[in-house]
Amino acid sequence: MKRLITLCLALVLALSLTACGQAKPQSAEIFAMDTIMDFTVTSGDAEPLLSEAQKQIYRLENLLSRTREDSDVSRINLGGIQPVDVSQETADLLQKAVDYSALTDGAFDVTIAPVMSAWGFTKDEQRVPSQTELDALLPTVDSGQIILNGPTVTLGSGQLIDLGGIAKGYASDRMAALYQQYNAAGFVSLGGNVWVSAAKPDGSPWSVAIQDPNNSAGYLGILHLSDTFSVTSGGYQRNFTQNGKTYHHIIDPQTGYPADNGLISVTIISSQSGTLCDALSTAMFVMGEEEATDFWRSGVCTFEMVLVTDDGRVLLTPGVADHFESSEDNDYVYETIN
Amino acid sequence: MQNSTRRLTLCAILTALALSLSYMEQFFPLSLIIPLPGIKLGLANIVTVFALCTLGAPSACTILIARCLLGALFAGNMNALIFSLLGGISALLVEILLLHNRRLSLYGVSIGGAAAHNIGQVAAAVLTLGNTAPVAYLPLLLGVSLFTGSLTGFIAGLLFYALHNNSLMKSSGNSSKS
Amino acid sequence: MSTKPLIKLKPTLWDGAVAVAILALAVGLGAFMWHQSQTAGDHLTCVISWDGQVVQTVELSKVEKYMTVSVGKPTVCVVELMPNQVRMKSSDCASQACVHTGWISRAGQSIVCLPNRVVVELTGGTSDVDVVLGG
Repeated sequence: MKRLITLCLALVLALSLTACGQAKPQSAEIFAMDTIMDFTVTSGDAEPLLSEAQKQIYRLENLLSRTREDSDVSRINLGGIQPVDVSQETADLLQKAVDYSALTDGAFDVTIAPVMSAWGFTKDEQRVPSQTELDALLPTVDSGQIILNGPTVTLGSGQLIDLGGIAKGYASDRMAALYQQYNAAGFVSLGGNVWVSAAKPDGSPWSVAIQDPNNSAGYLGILHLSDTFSVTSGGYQRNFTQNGKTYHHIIDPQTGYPADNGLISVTIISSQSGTLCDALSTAMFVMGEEEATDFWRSGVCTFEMVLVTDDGRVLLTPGVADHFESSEDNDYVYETIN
Repeated sequence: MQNSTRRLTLCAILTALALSLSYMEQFFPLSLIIPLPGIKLGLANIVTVFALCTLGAPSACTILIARCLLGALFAGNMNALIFSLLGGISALLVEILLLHNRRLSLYGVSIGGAAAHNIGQVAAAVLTLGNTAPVAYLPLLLGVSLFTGSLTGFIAGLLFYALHNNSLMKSSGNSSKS
Repeated sequence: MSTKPLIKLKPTLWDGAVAVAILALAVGLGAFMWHQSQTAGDHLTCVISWDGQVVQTVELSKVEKYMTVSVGKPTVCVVELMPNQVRMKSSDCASQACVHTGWISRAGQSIVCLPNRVVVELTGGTSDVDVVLGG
């Protein structure tokens, strides 16, 4: 009897291990800002954080979406050349957009909106606009014409703005602040705008893969990051084909046509700002390899980047080269920019 | 006439006993070890198995349902009802089955009852939580039931010894149970 | 007078049999669940959701050659699955961006049809990636 009891005790103790398990990370996924947004919390109070995060995203969407009639952006667009009063938050973001436009010599420009509409990207009814159409619209593409005075915004004649190229980056900044406020670890992916927190539960950096622009099923490589924002822009993400030609969604503000400067994918990494990553990912793509590397060298903005050219090269800035693990199953030539 | 009064009295006493056992066992922090809310040791099973042997299945069933309802009412917690009912009825059914085998002693029946009681409790947890996560605790609970079953069997045995010569038992002892 | 014992009060060998049976059940159940948890994580799984609700989960290793999943009533998107990759086979959306995405094969990658709110995600597998940029 005693031996039976001992045996039972031992077995019960062994079996109790089946009830043990690691705490699973909590996730949420929502549709917002015309894309899909994922939130993951690996440590910290997940439920209140996730619910607050979603509230914030919807709030920002209501504020900044071009397709919502009562958003700040829509009110600005409907205001014509009249001054429009908006929230200070929108005005500040617009100011940042205008600043990036100036810094990148117009490669990033939120006043590209009328041209985006002409291409049908806004309403998901893609078409190729005629040269005459574009000639009429291009003069309105000029962030320099926007007048900002506190919370008052005045557009130039015929201008419309679309904050879609910077809103998700801004949202990722707000998410980072929210996670810090809740003392939580994890990451978010807002339509591809990624922010990862300081460290994984086991202290190691996060593995952030960059999509291979030429192979939907593969990766370019993996970035090992912590407490960092990163955004990838590429023509392969949104495009349509007409009469045998493919047109993507990153329009060059100078030509009115999809940017065609030798780059097929641009990844910007920054530990400071998601807004910067979002804006620069578009700007560098439009600029092309030479201008982009010149811009990076100038040090006007601090960031790291990964460029993929249309002739099969992957260019990395030194700061990110140490944290990048290239994938073996592709034929890219990896180079470091200096 | 006397028999039925004695039966009724015995039933009442056993119900009270089961209730107090139910009340007592909530002080044992089982949910710290096995984090399922409402989980119990199943000491009231002592009464169930005793009643089964001495009074027969129908009476035992009545006592069980009565103490589950009253217990939940007194505790002010109707959620506990589903745990004690499912646990208790499962134990009752298995014990009725096991009692048909005359080669089993009180210990065997009690252990079987305790195991069934735990299966019933896990089933209740699955129903209240809406997912199958509680099943993970079943292996552990089944192992534990060997102990709790032996314990309840032992105490039930004490009950038999104590009431062996009692007048209450003498009158009802020779009835139906085979 | 002592009555005939209603039940044996001393433990017997048969009691041991009951105990062993319960133990066997416990061990068997434990082993089964452990086995499930070990193998579940290794399989690449395709999770298809529509409007935020999961409509189907498919373990790719269980796909024999090829299968399709229709999403929506009436169907708005059709997902095509093979043992090692999935893609959006067809969709009634205007831009067809989801169809143009092509095949995905790694955990963390996803195909999204925004107009129809359909998400096709790959999870599980031996994934060394936490999140995918620009996918």
